[in-house]
Amino acid sequence: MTQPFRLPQGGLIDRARLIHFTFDGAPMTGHPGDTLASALLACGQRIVARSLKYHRPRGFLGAGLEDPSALVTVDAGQGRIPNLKATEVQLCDGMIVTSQNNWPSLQRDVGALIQIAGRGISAGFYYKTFMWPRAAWYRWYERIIRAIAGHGRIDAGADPARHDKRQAFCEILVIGSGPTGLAAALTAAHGGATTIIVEADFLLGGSLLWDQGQIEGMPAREWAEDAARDLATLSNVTVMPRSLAFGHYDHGQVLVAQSCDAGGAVQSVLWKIRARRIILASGAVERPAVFPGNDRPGVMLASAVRTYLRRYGVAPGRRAVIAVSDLEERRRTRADLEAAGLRVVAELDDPSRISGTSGGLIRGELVAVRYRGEDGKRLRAGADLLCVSAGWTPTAHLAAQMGGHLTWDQGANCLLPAGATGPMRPAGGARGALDLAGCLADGKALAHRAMGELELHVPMVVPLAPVTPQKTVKPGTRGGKAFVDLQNDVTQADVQQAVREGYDDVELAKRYTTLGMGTDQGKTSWANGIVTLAEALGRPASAIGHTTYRPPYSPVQIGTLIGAETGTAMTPTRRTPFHRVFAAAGCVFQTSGDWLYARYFPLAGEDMAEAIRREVQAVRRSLGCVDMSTLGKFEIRGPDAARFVEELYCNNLSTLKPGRLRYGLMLREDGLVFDDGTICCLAADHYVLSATTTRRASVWRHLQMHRQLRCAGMDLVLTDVSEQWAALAIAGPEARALLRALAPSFACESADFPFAAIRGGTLGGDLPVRVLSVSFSGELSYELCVPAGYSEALWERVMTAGQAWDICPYGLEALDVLRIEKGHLSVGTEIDGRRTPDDLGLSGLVSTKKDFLGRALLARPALQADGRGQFVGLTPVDRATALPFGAHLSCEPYVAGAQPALEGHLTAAVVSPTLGHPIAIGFLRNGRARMGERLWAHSPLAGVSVEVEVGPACAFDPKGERLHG
Amino acid sequence: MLIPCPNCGPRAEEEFAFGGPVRELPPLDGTADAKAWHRALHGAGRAGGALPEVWYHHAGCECWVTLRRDLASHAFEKAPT
Repeated sequence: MTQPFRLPQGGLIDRARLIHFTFDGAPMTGHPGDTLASALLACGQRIVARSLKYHRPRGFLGAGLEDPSALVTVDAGQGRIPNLKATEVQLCDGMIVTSQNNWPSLQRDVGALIQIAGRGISAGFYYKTFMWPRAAWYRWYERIIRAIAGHGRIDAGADPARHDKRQAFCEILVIGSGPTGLAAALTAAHGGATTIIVEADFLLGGSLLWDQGQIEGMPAREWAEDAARDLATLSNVTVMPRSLAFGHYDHGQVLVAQSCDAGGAVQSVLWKIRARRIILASGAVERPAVFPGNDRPGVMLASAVRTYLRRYGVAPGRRAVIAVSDLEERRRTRADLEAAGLRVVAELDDPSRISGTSGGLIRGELVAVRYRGEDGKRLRAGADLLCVSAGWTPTAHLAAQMGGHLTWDQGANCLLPAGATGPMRPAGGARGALDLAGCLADGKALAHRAMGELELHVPMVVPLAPVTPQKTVKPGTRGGKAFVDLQNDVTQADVQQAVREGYDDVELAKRYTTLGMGTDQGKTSWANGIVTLAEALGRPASAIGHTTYRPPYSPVQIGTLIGAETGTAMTPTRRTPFHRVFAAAGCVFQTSGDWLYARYFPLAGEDMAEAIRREVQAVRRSLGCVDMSTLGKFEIRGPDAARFVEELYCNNLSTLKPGRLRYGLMLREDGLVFDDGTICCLAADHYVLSATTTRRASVWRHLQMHRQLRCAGMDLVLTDVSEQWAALAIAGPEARALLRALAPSFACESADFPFAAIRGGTLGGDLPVRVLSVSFSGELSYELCVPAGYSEALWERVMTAGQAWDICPYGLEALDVLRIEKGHLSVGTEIDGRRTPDDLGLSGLVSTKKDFLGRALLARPALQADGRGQFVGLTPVDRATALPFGAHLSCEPYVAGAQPALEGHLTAAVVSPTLGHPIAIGFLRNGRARMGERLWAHSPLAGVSVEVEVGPACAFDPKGERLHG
Repeated sequence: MLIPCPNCGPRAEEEFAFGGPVRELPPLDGTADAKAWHRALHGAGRAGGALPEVWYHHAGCECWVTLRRDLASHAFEKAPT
């Protein structure tokens, strides 16, 4: 397709090269340097979207990220991305662009019939209308409304694009690269400050790229190019184009979304930039005027018209009406239009003189402007372009995000930010200094001030530019829809109605009308919204205030926020020292926290259930081995080690002798159980503690807190040795036979090495080892700990020597079955942060002879009260029906719809290969006094209700005789 | 937030674990009862202004550091050196 609206010359585009793209299937062309918007306009595509609520045709109001309505879906080879502003998308070859919110097509949209009902669907329409009948909301209304309303549709597939996150630090961060930003960055850079300048656009320069004006004797655009070149050569400056600063956080952190070149390693980078001073040079956004029909394609901000003409060499129309309140802006707009060969058919000094616009019969785009002449006479001018401006609105969103309150300035006729919000200093247009000289002076002055504050040079008192006064433009007149917010289809009448209905606070009016919501965040609408509200309320604009500004300032893709942390890259993957040999043994792994842990070791042709059954039976019958390396292991040495351990655990440890270990419970300060593990006493001044895999970091933090904040005077050293040891537990009736075969340097017969003991030495005369006689399976068991680097040597010896007893490696699944059969506790399922030692049936462990963390608050009445859930075992009465995991216990069977009183719940349930029937463990109100009682375990989710019998938590070998072999 | 670790200098919030306000817990000598512990642990009303808190610098010096922070502005008082 040709480009009928491309001017014969001018613009920062490369006319020698052609870029091909499609819009709703139609082939179109543009040039490098174009945005999607400028290319569409060059091709004569003036309507690009249908509006949110009324499905009115919409074109381009702006030329940059202020544009509220030209939202399109773009596929540039990295997935289909909806709701992009055509004015922000840098044109690239092969782009497939589709319009949104229309059916069957952009030109003939059935939804536009809604306009006929126009008056009916004003503010609050949904709240008032779809009330009755109630059931119809879900069945009909919501579906229909969702189908009609809204913007683009997201691509539900995985994001094919790659994203990343990075951090950066600097002394001075400059946001925006217009005259203010460039002046600030040059000043800071030449002053020697480490400087980062971020610009959302792909070119530096901001308004200098299209505004007339001279700087230092050269045209503004050339000065900008010069400045950009200058910054690029300085080693203390990082220039970041295509980088949107969208969020301002505590202590000088700014989040920046950077788009990268297509074909690069990543498509976007989320930067966390920490700066000591931030100069907010984000400029100002031109304010549209509110008059009937102000949303027609062809109605455009004067600055946008000038941008299309001068930066892109595109004529947004042929016959133009100018309605610009500021004299200088009006003069420049006329000059730019005439220089490009467009006809100016009328020039108005006040947009409020416009009484309406007329649209084409079929497409609705602008064909004429109706207005009042100087003498009050009604006039009509045939025009396809209306350049409007009711002044400028400073872009101070980032300052306001950190709580900096904006105040309405009567003279400047807009919201202005405070001079400083934390380390942020609004400059130039962002604080209402609107003329070129003022912006340049402001950027320079604030950079000097910032460097003075940072003691990078002597403090300098450089005056700031004065705030530019602006005229008031009265919004709207009667008749027709006069839009305040184009993106959300909020009209002046909607705002007035909200006030009439009592939503007279700015926050209420926003929610009721949706004014300033959506991706637009009120860039073009808030100033007019405030003026409209003020008028409806009969208050001054300064009394209206503003709503809360929140990040992101402009939309950011979810993928950018996520970065590379998707799928398996979400968290680090940790492998135990046995990973390689387990993998070679055919192990199936599962993630457990950050760990890849052995799940089971299937034989050929075996499924998971069969493998688990075989592994459990091997341990109960002869011998198995399991990885224990992920447990936390902490060493405590020093004269005060024993005292320190006594304070941390509720157990009585005064009787714990060197060479022995004990199962211990660690309580939180509030008396609830925090973690369980072993306490090994190697010597009177040397202990090793273990922590549950998932609690490793928090137990270490807890130890450190107690050590550093409460026992600072104690003489001891804490060391985390979790990474230093690989641990393999051998378990089963033949465990001692295997230990003997491994030739330890210490005696291992039952008299010499009883249960709950620890021995150090070597295996086979050369492999250094610590052996703990502990058991999680309930069988005779030894935990063999070797320095982590020797894990494979240990594995080899254990597997070779273990052949004599058919040693069977087992995984997490079998480990769990074995411990459920024994009623052993697991952190996270039973130790869930709500249990006292007594709830777990372990009150016998709690010492009454000493003080420890948690003792005092464990005595609180509620923790000692009758009726608490107690740890019990449960078996189905028929010994056959599997118990649903997580089932609830009550005295009656489950009836759909009924809500039986709950007596407790199951924490774990398995079919026990050892006992040959299903078993479960769980908590039951006063459970220990209810042995033999029959209850119902029901799971409405699984649709199961099973009669169960209460028994002790330990279902197998209750006397624990097997522990001793 | 940028947290001024007295050992490592200003570091990102992600490097720290929060430990709550500074608490004067009773000594573990068997004398304090549940009431005293409850008061110490769950605290009474706080006056405005900077609140002393403890932070654990797990990605740095592994120290529990005490810092005063204004909860309204997140401003840290300069750590004593």
